[in-house]
Amino acid sequence: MSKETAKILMADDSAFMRNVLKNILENNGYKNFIEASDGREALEKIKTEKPDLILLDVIMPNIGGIEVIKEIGKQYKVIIVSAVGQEKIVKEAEDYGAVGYIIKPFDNNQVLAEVNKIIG
Amino acid sequence: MEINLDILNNVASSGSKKVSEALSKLSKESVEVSSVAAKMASVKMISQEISIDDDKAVISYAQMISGISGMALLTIPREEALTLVDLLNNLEIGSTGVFMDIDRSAIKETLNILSNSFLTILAKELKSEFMIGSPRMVPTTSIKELLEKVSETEEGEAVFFNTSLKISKHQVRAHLYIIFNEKLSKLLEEIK
Repeated sequence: MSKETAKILMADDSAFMRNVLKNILENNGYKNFIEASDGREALEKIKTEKPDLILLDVIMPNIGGIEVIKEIGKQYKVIIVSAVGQEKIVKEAEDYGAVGYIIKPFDNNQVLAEVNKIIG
Repeated sequence: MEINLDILNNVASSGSKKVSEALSKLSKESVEVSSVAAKMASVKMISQEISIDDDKAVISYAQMISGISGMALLTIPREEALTLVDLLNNLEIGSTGVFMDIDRSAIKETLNILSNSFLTILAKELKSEFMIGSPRMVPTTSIKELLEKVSETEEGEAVFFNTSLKISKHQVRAHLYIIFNEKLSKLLEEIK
C-alpha cells in the first residue's frame, strides 16, 4: 500500500479539522481521501469504500467515535482523533482495537508519524 | 454556598495557561492571557458579565456531556474572528471577509480545543472527568437561558471561569467562559 493509493477516511464533525488533516497529509504525498461528518456517515462510508485507514474523531453527533469502533471491531485500522484531556476515551478506543491516536491541536509530525506507521 | 477560592483560582490560572498554549499552537502566533477570573456568582450577574452585542461578536457554545452540568462559551468580536479564521487557515490577514460554514467550523473547533485544554486541569485537580459535546454557534439572546439550564434556576448560582486572551500582533481578543453548576463547589470542598 503506497501513500498515493491508500484510501483514508477522515471522520470528524468539524469540516475545518478535516481540512487541516487533509492539508497535512496532502503536503506529504497522500492523495486519496474520503470524508464523513458524523459516526453514521462514517459507518456507511466504511461499508461502501472499505478504507485502508480511518482517522476517527471521538466526539461526533448521532454516533460517536467509540460506537463506530465498537461496530467495526478490528477489521479496519483506526487512528483516534481527540482533544487533549480525552485520554480515558482514547484508552477505551484502544481497547476496542484503535491502533493509534492524534491529539488536537495537531502537531504535524505526530499526525505523520501515526499515519506513516500504517501506510508508509 | 461557600467555595474553595484558592483551588478555584489555581485551576483558573493553570487552565488559562493551557488555553493560551493551545490557541498559540492553533494560530501559530504568540498569545497572551490578558485576564483570568474565577468566582461563584448568580446567573444574572454572569449573564451581565458575558453580555455582548450580537452584531459585534461571534459566539460558540458547547454543553458539558459528562461530569457536572456545565457549558463553555467562546466569544470573539466579529472582525477579529475573521482575522482569527485567517490565522487558523494560514491565510493572509484580510482574506476572509464573510463567514462561510467552514469558517464557523473553525471557530467551533477552537472552542472545542480551548475548553478541553482548560478542563484537563480541572479534571486533574478534582480527579474527575469532564467531557464537552459538539460545539454550535448561538445568538446572544440564548445565553441567559443556557446559563439557567446549568444552574437549574434563574436565582441559582454557578461557578464561573473567565479567561481573556489576546493575539497582540493581530489585535484579536477572545473570551473563553467555562460555567458549572454550583455542585462543582462541593467537589472543590472535598479536596480542600
